[in-house]
Amino acid sequence: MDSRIENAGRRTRRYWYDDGLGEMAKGAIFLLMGLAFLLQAEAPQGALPRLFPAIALPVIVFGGILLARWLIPAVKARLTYPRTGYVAYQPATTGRKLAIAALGLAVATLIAILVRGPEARTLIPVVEGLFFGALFFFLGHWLGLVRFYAVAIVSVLVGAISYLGGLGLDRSLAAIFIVVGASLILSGALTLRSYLHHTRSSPQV
Amino acid sequence: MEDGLREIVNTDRVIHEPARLLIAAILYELEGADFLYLLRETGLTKGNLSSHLARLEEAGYVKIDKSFRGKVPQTVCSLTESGRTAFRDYRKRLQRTVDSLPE
Repeated sequence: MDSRIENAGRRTRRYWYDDGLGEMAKGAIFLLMGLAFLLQAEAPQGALPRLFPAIALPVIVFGGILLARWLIPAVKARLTYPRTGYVAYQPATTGRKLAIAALGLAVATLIAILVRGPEARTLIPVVEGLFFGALFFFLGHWLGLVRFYAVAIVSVLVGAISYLGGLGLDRSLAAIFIVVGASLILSGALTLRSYLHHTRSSPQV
Repeated sequence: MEDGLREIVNTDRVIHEPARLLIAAILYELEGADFLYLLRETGLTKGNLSSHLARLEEAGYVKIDKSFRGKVPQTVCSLTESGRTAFRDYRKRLQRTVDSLPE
């Protein structure tokens, strides 16, 4: 009982990730972004497909988020809630939303300052890898989920390998997003398999 | 009697009970949770959980909504404002009590 009380907050935050569905959705968005970067990298100069990412990326990110916000709860209602119960999380406060927006702006500004100039631009894959590594490491720590540490390590490694391999900016970004996306999908799928194996639907109590 | 020890005597006995403290700690993080989630997270029996929820509801700390999700009946529990205040006050009181105890 004591350890349950101590860990109550963390366990309730972690519950959203117990079925792996959220991870798979994030992974799909990352993967699509990676494919958009790959298209940009492989399309000949001047060809129309090189413009595709500029249009596709906002659609993928915002469309993906909107779709996920509808799809994930719908799937959870059929799969998760009958097995392990329903929770409604508190909506983020305005202060928290502003803090996240400010943090995002600060990180983007810092990256833009650090990678000014053609020489420094080659470091963007490393910076991206480190950024995603830090993000997933924090998530893993906050939620107490070891698998996010693994995704963090993958992020850092793929960023470093892309830079050292001299892939060029577009291919490096494609590699980072595709590999991180695939990692999240795999992690989510394994989590879902384990979740379904260890739980079963309960008649509503 | 020392102030810290007096805090123990004056503690909110509704929240202080370990099972109800756990229920409050879980619900404090959430807007609401259904009976099945609370059952799994607390490890209590159905009867025990129902009893503790009833006690919390009687104290005005928890609101219990019975509804349907499609055709399936659902019981969703949430902390009321006074429940959240009681939980926060209990946490502060407990911290003061622990801090006042000798090493």
